Amino acid sequence: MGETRRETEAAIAANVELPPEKYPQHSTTDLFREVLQKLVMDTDFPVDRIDGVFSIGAGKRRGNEMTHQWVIDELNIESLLGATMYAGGATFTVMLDHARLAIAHGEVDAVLCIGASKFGLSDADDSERRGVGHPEFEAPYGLTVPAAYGLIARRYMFEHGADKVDLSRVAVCNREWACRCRTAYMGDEGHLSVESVLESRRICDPFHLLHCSVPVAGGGAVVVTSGELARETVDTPVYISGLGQARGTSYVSQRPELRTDAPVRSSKAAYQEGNVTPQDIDVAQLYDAFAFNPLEYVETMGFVREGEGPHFFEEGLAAPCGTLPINTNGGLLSYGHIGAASGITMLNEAINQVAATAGSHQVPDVQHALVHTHGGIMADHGTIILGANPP
Amino acid sequence: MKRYTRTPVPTESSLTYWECANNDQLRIPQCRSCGEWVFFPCARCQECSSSDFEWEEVQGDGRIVSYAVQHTNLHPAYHEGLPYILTVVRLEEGPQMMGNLIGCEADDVFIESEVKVVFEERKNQSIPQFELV
Repeated sequence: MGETRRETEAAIAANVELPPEKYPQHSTTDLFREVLQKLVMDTDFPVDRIDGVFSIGAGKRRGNEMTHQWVIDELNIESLLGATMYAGGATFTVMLDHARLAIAHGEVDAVLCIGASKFGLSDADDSERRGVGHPEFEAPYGLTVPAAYGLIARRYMFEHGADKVDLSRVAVCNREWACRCRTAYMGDEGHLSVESVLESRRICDPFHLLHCSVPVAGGGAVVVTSGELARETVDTPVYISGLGQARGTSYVSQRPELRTDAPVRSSKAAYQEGNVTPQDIDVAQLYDAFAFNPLEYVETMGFVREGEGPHFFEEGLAAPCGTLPINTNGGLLSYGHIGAASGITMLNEAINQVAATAGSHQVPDVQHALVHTHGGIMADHGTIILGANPP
Repeated sequence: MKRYTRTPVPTESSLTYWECANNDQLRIPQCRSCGEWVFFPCARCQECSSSDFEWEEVQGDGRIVSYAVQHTNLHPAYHEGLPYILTVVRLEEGPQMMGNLIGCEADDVFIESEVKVVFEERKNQSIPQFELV
């Protein structure tokens, strides 16, 4: 059994991160080129070993629905596998899942998963302008992305006696981490207080501006290989210990109590596969489109019991020096939300933490990191558990 | 074709729903085969795949599952009405639906408050909305 596992284990052999900025002079394609440049120049992994490419579409321009073809041409590689994929923030989790399965089947050796984007410039981001949700039964009421999350958040707050102070503590915690992270977009903006968050202008109550992720641009990539190839080619491979996906209805109004059990199901699958428990996780990246999300995710990931998320943040347990550091680069709230490719920033950070390459905001002795991402209005869910050692 | 407007465009499955709304009636298809509500209206029951529906009139009384108060909106069609309140309401009969809470201030709204349906006329189409009871 141990031998079989070893043959099919998957690892990350390259981790490329384009720091979040506004990049006003860059097109999305320029950002992709920057990511490819970094892949070639800054990583040890031999690019000619890549024989699979999964990409996010490079913006709205015609032809970008098949960006993987462009990537293959730019790298001038012979690729067997390729597709352009999109599942919102969960895209990279979906890519990793397909990549490791193709590797386990012996179909390919190394799959590049790549994305770059500018918040507000993709087709997906455009939904904000034309309204989100069902075209007849939700969108005509002026449903926006913040309103959809706001509805979910307010129901959660009602059921668990939480308030806007609890939401604000998440934003404060994320900023603490951002102030330690050299590349975080809001890192130079200084610390936040609950009061300063609540004094920021209202976007969609219960959310004020500083409860919302900060729009920037950026990108990144990872190369998924077998554990064996990763050990051969790089110094610190990071292993995919477990990965789970689950989905709920995309229509917020049709969820009972506006909740979905999809994150519980995806995390359980990841823990089970990795044969680890929530207590084994040393650091977590929890997709924080809005400050509400981590409150619920510390519960649905099994770190605390249902309803105890607010207390967890009140006690500072997710902050630097806390028992379970969360969103250690500042998260989407303070590192930055790069739009369509946002999931890569959480994955990059988790890999850095496990590989002990995070630098100024490194958490000591990380054996296991958890990444939970979602796509759409919390419809596509994916949980990844990364390990410093083979599973 | 315009991808989004404030006025819903009925489909074959929802035509009856919107025609009834124009007569200030809220009718929701109920599956004759298994008794489940079919909402949003669609071609087949999601429980049992039957397409044999009864368009049942519901009273439009319900409770607030949640609400959110929109203070900004990038879509110009909504600039005039800011701020406005989004709500999800659970009808007494069971189905859950989205609407705006109209004729009230955000400070007066609470989760589990009782509401009733009212009909707001938009361009050639009335749409169900909610008011506090």
